[in-house]
Amino acid sequence: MSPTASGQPPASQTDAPQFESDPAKGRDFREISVHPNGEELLFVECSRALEPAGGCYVLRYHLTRKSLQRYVLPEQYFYTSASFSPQGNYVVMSRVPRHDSDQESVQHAYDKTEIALMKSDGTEFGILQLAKGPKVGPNISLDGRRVAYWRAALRKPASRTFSNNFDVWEMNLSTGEDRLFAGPFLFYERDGLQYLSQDEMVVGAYGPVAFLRQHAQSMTTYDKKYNRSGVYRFSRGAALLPEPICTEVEGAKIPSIDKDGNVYFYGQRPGISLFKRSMDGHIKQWVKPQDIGGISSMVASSDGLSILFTYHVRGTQPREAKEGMGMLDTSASGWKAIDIPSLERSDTIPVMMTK
Amino acid sequence: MADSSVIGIKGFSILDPSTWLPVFGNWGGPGWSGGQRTTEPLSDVLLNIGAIEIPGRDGQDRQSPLDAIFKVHDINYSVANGLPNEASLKFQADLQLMQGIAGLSLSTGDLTNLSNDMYDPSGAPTGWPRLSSFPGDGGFYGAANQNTNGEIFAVMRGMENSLLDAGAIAQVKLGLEPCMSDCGDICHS
Repeated sequence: MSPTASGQPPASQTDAPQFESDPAKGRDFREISVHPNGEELLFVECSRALEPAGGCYVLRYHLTRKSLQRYVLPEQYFYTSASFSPQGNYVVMSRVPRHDSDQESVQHAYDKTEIALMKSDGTEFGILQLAKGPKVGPNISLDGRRVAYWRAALRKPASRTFSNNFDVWEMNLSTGEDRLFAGPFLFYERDGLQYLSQDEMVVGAYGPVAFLRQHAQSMTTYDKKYNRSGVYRFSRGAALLPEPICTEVEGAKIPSIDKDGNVYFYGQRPGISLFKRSMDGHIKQWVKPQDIGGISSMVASSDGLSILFTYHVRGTQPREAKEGMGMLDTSASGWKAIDIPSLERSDTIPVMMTK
Repeated sequence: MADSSVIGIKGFSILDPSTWLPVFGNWGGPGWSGGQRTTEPLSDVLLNIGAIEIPGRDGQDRQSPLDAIFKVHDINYSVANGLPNEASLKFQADLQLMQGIAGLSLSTGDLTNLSNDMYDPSGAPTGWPRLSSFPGDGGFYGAANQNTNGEIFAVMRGMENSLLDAGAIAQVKLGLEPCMSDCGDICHS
């Protein structure tokens, strides 16, 4: 539905939001995930704090106990994203071989991206047998039997972005079958993906290059029609690109779903805010505090009572990777920083390989 | 750290002509992405990079419409790559870029942060023929000019209260191939 075709649905808004000082900001946090208990966060942090050469680690933080744990994963890799399964009993992650910083080395490494799966306690670690190529953002299905992830193509060196042509692929863990979930749509870029049901998911993606080519349409025209939305609802096997959703709000992106199917996302109306779109179409809005830069990843807790997010420190650029972490209490409309302890203070969780 | 919410020459190198051109935000300018030039090694290579966010007059952040236009221009180029009418599609993308910029309105406050550090070259050189023009309501006047090597530049002249200082001229090299058969009145024949 075109946003211009109907009036805007009712919305509520919190004025003059406040965000306390964030002692942990300025670190390189990525790809936040939340356990279904709403208490534990999973995320990646890249840092040189533990080793001079630097590393990207999978970390687990308990909001009440304020304890940080680090999975002791094989050291030959940089870990690029991680998420809890819907039941919280598994962790799925993407990783690339350690590489030098020159572009050829980076490209070579990302062509060898792997997706790993383990139980949340660090046991039964194993690698999924998938085709070569860049992969990121894996997520586990509601029944725990499938893993969906983004697969992309490497671009020529010195392109604007490192990779493009993103599509969702899915591996059946029972059969080992790995196939396109829907499309191909060849998105220019992506953010989150999450299963809505056994056969549907909500994804954040922008710039459907295949669709635009097929319909001889420019992104400029597409954006005007759909209010710059980058949120879609896919069904398994869909060959045709569905219309974007959440078009009531300009520039919707980074979607996340709670257990009732409400969609939370990032957008602007008129200022940049977090939004909740209920199943009945009602939109609730929380205006982003000024102290927070752009939101880089976010996830709603399964009960919808909180939204956890990472953000760019104001005044820095995305590639500077200076991030903070925070949460929004959706019932009290309160924003607060999450003071993640330093990596040096983290406890370790041993990881045991599958025999 | 360079402030990317203003148009300016950043990362200038005399050895790299692409750095002689102005950049803006996360997407505006040749070889410019995420507030950096992408010829540098990339550390966060699967990053989703939105348009830069700037405060509006009401104090609330917005995505810069200018930067969003630059980003869409990049996607339009990606759509064009490898197609039989690639040159024509890229030409149209360049036109949409310029028309989009010209169509930005000062009244929304979206451009209020762009008043400093302006790219202020001496002006369009004498002898560059004007191929087309894009008068807009953004307070400046845009035109496409071709230099003596056949390269096409968008040249924007600032008017009073405009994005550019009054009288200032900004040049942006366009990825056009001149003398195409389907490029309408902008074609130099």
